[in-house]
Amino acid sequence: MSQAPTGILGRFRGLIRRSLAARLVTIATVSVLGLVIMGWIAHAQFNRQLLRLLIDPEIQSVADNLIGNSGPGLEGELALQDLPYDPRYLQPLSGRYFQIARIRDDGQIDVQVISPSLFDVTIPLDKKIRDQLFDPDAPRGPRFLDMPGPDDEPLRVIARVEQIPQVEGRYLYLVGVAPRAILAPAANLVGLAFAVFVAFCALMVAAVTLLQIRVGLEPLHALQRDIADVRRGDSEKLQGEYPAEIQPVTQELNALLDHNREVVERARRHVGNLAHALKTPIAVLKNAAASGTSDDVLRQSVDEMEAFVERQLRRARVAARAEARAGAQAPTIAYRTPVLQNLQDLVFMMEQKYDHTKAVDISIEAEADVTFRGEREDLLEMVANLIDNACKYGRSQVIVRLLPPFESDGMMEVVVEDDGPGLSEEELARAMARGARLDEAAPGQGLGLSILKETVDLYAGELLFERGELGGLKARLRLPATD
Amino acid sequence: MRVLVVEDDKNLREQLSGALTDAGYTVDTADNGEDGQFLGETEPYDLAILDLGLPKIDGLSVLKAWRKDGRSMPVLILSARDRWSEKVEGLDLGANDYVTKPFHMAELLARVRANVRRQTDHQSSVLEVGDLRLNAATGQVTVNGAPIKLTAYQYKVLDYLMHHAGRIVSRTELTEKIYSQDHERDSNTIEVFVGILRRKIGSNRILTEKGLGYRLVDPAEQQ
Repeated sequence: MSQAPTGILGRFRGLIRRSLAARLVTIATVSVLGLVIMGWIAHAQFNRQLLRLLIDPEIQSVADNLIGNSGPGLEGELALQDLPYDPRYLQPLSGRYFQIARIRDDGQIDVQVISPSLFDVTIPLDKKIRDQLFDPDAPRGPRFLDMPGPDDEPLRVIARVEQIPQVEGRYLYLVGVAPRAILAPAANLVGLAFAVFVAFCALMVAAVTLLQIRVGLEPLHALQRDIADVRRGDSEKLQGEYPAEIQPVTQELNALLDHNREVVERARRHVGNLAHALKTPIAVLKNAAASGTSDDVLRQSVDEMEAFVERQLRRARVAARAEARAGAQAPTIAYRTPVLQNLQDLVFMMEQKYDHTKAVDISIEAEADVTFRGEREDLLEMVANLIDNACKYGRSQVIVRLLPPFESDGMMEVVVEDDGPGLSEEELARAMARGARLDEAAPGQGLGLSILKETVDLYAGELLFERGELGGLKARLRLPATD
Repeated sequence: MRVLVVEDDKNLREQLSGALTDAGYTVDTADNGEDGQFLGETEPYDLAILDLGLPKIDGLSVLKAWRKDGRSMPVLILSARDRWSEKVEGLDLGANDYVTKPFHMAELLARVRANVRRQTDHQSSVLEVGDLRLNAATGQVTVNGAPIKLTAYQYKVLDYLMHHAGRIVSRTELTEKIYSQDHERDSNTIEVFVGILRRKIGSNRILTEKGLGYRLVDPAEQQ
């Protein structure tokens, strides 16, 4: 977004853009508002029709009655011989009125007779209506009108222009009924009903929207949980069943995951192949360097190349294992590796390795076998690193001790001790503090601990260094064990 | 002594072959697993150097085939891969030693020397002292029928002690015999090897004669 939206409308737009829930609420509100308005209009229309049905016959009959009762008065003027029998035309401002007026030649009217209910006012007639009514060419007969009455109250009116025998001039008869007079008792009820209807609609909007957000958007939450699972490594791809609308997204995500994994895998394979491919020529170079004029520079370069390749390969391996674990269907917990037999195999390996260079007595102290909660390969890599270091730096004795897990934390311990020079207090502190990066300073010379540490971290294990009873370094590898 | 080299890289194969020939071995070479397996099955070798990443048939399969076929010559595995788990697997399949590329030729030659057929100077191929038994033809050592895993030098020390069972063998004598071809070794490495052997075969089988040396005995007869 280039700029922050301003004003209420802008902010609202921003909200719509940011929130699916806001969209749903808006759509629901607008449609319900439309519905209420339509309902109101329909209701009003219906009311008007109903009123006409009720009012028109009444006013027609009252008008007939008035005309029939009209006659000449004492001075030849128009007079009513009898009032209508309906008493409501007599009560002041009852909502039922009539008015008889003489039509003058200039189009104005002189009111002659009014219903007692009009009290002392007359029903006003604006010019437009007068022109319409008094047009000589207008068709004869009764006309029904909706017009304002006293106090601008809407009236349904019948208008008739008549000539009365023995009375001079034309007369306009108006009989009107205000809808109020008919509806008054029901008006409050209708208003209440409508208010209830609107309140009900609002509640429905709220409920439906909540439902939509809860039920309608639930697949999105499920998707989020699924993606989190993939990220944490609990699953390889998005597994869940999704609605047809989200399915394409999950398919694309899965394809993307596959693609990603493939790219990483390819890159890693590439590095692995490259490094392995380098090893044989390095071996050749190394032998050539050793047999020829003992060129220190050449030999040193070859050693550096070797150390570099080694480092890259180990790093790739740790990453590959982490990746494999992330992609594995079964969590790490599922692996169970008996430790003792593997320790014995490793110790024999080390005896082989150092057989021709150095006599090292590697002994194993274990009261009982322990089961490591993890992969055999990882266990071998970690422990082999420690034993290898101990053999390298020890004088002639290495002790590998296997301790069962304490009940409190379920961590078993492999202790590797040697009788070498050990680390100084400063080096010990450094190894402990900085994730054991002693080997970073001098390639090929150090303990190779940083990679070991990465594997230990994979298992939430712990690697501790102390001064041992034999005088050398004592490494304590704490790893999760099964019960 | 005949050594078989199975390695697909031409330069490395020639270096190996040259160094071994210089050291006095008769060398045959193969540049793929199929030829290597065939040679190993048909010719009597004192040792085989086997690369793991081979064309046609991979090294571990070749080794498995040889062992299944009853070929018991020492096999030294050569590999660019150096995962500990792979080495353990190779040794489980019957390899005798494992050298990771790149390596020093001197180191490789030392290992070859330590691993070439161990029985050369003995008439009898089986030595027995009580229930301790050493089969020189297969290089297998058992105590009361249970196999004991020994490295080449551990084996040599035991072999010499068993060959002179009941007699006192001095440290100097052992050092000279074991390391005759190698560079000078500290004599207390013998102490370490004896310590390891005692742990593996039982501490009462090798007695220390103070100031003189060691004596291998049958503990059953000492009662």
